[in-house]
Amino acid sequence: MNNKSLIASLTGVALFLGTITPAQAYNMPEFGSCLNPQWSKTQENKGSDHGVIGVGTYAGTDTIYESNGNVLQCLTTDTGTGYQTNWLKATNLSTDEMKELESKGWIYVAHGEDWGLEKCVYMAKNGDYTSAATSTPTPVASPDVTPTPAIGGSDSTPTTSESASTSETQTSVPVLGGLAPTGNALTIYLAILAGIASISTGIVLRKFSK
Amino acid sequence: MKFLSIFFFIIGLLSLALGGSELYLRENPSRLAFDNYTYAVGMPSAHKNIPVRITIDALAIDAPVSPVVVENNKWPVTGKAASYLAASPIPGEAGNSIIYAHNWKNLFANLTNAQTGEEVVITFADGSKKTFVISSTSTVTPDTSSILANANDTRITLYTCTGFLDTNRFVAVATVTN
Repeated sequence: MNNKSLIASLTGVALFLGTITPAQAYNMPEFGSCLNPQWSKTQENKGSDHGVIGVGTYAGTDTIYESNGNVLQCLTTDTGTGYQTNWLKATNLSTDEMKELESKGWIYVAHGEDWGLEKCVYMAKNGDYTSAATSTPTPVASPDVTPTPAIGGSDSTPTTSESASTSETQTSVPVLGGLAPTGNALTIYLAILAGIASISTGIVLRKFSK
Repeated sequence: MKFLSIFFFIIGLLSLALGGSELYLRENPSRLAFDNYTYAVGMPSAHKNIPVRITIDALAIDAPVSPVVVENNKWPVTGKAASYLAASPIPGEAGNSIIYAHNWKNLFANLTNAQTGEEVVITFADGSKKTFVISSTSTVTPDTSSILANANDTRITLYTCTGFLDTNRFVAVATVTN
């Protein structure tokens, strides 16, 4: 094998290895979306200082859903914007796993109790969510008073604990692995790139053939 | 070598043609003139008063709607109409009705600009109409199938692709008005 072949092979191997991502040892819960929460609703708080981690404090309505210690926070501010924050209970995560999550935009939270959560480590990540003030999912189960404090809101008033407006057994559509592919940007870019690459290759080969 | 050169030229031209045609489909809003367009897969809701058109004036969206059925976990997507998931409730009935479409200019390209409070009008096969108001929006990953789950209110969930290389989904939820 000559040097060029060796370099080409090594480059190929490096590129291949670069595409490999570490195996995920932990099970990431399906937080879902504040648009249609599937977890149990534990709080709905109205107040003036609801905290959004890494962002700030807002007045509005904060609705909390929980499952196995993980928390879905849906905040609708009084100005009509909102935030979805996924709180992953991280007590069983290794340091490497936490670092991996941080590289994906998750924020390390050493003291969950500071945010009205359990006294343990959490990883948190914000997402965009906008909701009109009146669109909070309507509860259907019988409510129970919960003593759990609100996330980041000192004057928030915890109200009720109740099941979310929907349940996992109520799906009206087949269980699907995901949403429909409704875009073709990838096809466009790949086709154009392939076209340019092929024509360039053709030009190079034509020069060599002369 | 010359043959190989020609081969690559041809492949390159074909690829560019494919890319161009996909770009044309995506960007040309006037390529469709099918007010009476009908396209249906499965049609389990054929006996019902199915939605045939969706209009969101604030977003300049006015597209036909066709019912579709998901088979073998594969979503049918057409570039000629918004797709109404026939397994979900008829819009206006209790529950979560699902309507999705390509983010092409003739379909849901402008949906990503949706704001709460904007009206969505669904026209049905019998000519009747129902009005919904967008109550919440979000951008989610394609695996967030929980947005398809049933709901105890009366809502429609609209979604289309968004983000870099269309890798995410923009979702708007609208609830029925009186």
